[in-house]
Amino acid sequence: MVLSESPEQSFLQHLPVIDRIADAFARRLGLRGDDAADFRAQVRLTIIQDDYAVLRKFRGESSLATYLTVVVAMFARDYRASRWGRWRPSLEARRRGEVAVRLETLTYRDGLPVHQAGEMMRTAGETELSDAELARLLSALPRRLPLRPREVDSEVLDTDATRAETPRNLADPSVELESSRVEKALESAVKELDVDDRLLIRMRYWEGLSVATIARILGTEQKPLYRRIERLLEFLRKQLATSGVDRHDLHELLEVRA
Amino acid sequence: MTDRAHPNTPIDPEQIAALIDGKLPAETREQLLRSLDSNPELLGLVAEAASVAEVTQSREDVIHSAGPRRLRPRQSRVSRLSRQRLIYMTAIAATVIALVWLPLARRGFGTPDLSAIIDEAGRGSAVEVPDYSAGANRGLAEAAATESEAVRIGAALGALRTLSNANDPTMQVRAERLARDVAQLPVAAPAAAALRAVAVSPDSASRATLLRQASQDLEAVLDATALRRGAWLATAELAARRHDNAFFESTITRRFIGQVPTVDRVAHTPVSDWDAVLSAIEHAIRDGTR
Repeated sequence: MVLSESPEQSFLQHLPVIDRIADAFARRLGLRGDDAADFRAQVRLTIIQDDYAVLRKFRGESSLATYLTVVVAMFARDYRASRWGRWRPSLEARRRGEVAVRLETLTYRDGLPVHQAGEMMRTAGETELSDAELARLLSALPRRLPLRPREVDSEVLDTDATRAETPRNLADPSVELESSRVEKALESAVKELDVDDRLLIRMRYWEGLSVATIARILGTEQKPLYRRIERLLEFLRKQLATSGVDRHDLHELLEVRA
Repeated sequence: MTDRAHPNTPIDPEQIAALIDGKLPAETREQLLRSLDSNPELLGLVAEAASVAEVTQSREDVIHSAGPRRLRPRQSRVSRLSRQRLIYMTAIAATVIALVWLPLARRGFGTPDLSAIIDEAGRGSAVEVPDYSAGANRGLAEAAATESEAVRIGAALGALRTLSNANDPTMQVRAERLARDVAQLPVAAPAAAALRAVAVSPDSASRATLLRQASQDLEAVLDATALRRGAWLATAELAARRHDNAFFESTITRRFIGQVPTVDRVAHTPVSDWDAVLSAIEHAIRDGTR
């Protein structure tokens, strides 16, 4: 252990940081109110348990804040898997902010119709947007399906049966087939890249990381990465074109893909 | 907590943290990168942790504990890039100052009228104008006439002005929402009325007059400096979204930042790192703290 103070002192000193990290993950998980507070408590417990094992294991090879962030990320991943399978808010929802993440979570993960999700969010003071505004916001997000069967009450089942919000594209087998073709072509083109380039593209466009962060991860300068990304996109565009995939096909894919 | 992303692949959280911090030795990094390439779940974990770290770790939040600090590589990058930037910035900054800042400077910087900046910054903008209204993010019950609330309302006013200038169709909804926010503040009824009038006003000239009136009304009941700070931050966010580093590099911006301690975090973020700049601005608007 390399911490200069006792694990308990270190925990107390860094509790605000730990809570901030926990809250950030809770938001990404779409947790609010009691659920978010419970998540924060579980994160604290994870760090405290086994006589602060998490802190005692810290070797000082990274900043403590980043180390704790990864520890909480691992906990959040397990938490998510235990509750909902492998659900993650889409990049677009994260980009649009907390209301979008919450809306996406309630509608696509929990299967609520928009008006119920809106009612819940407005009652909780999370938004003042009308159902129509929320529906517009939802329409801007990628269409998704729940990843595992979920527990619902009878009221939701009744509503689900009549809901007119079934993802249009996914309900259409021809669109699904087409998106599969485009997706395969894209995967195939990406596979032709070398490891670093493939990771660069995936981190930038699949995971939405900033170029600055990617540069640190790849251990390279940030500035040349912009040109490198442009070159890679050009390469991918050409590869896709030779596979008969055009911009319109990609647009369709993005409509379907989470 | 599981320590494995793959049945036979143990995850060392500190190794991942060192990768995110850019602290991993080259050989270890290459090995880990290969693992990321073959393990999408692990890549997702790294990406998620890195994204959260971006948001939660601003410069002053770095924990000064044992172990190397995250601050150093960024500082060295700043000094390297600043020389390169200087060459380009001189020409660009001159243009921007002429277009945007000189009218402001002529009026004197003691009481900056930010409308000129906002007008210019929003002109021709293709970027999405953020929504700073309380209703977009949290309950109105939380609204209070605090300094941080004044910053947020200032930001919302700045964004509204940009949308109004651009005749953006979302302007009406934003104006109504801001009017509702403002109506909950003590003695802010005149400003709320002006904002409601903005929502239904058909032409941008009359909306501009009403927005000025709303700003003046709010400055009478809220912290005027905090309001202007919010308006500046909203403008800075637009500039950051357009990667307009001339805005941040100009002398007058620097002077403004020097007079407003709250935007220190923005001032100390290298403008080459736009995500970090945006994150700092978002923090400054959300927290509104000194």
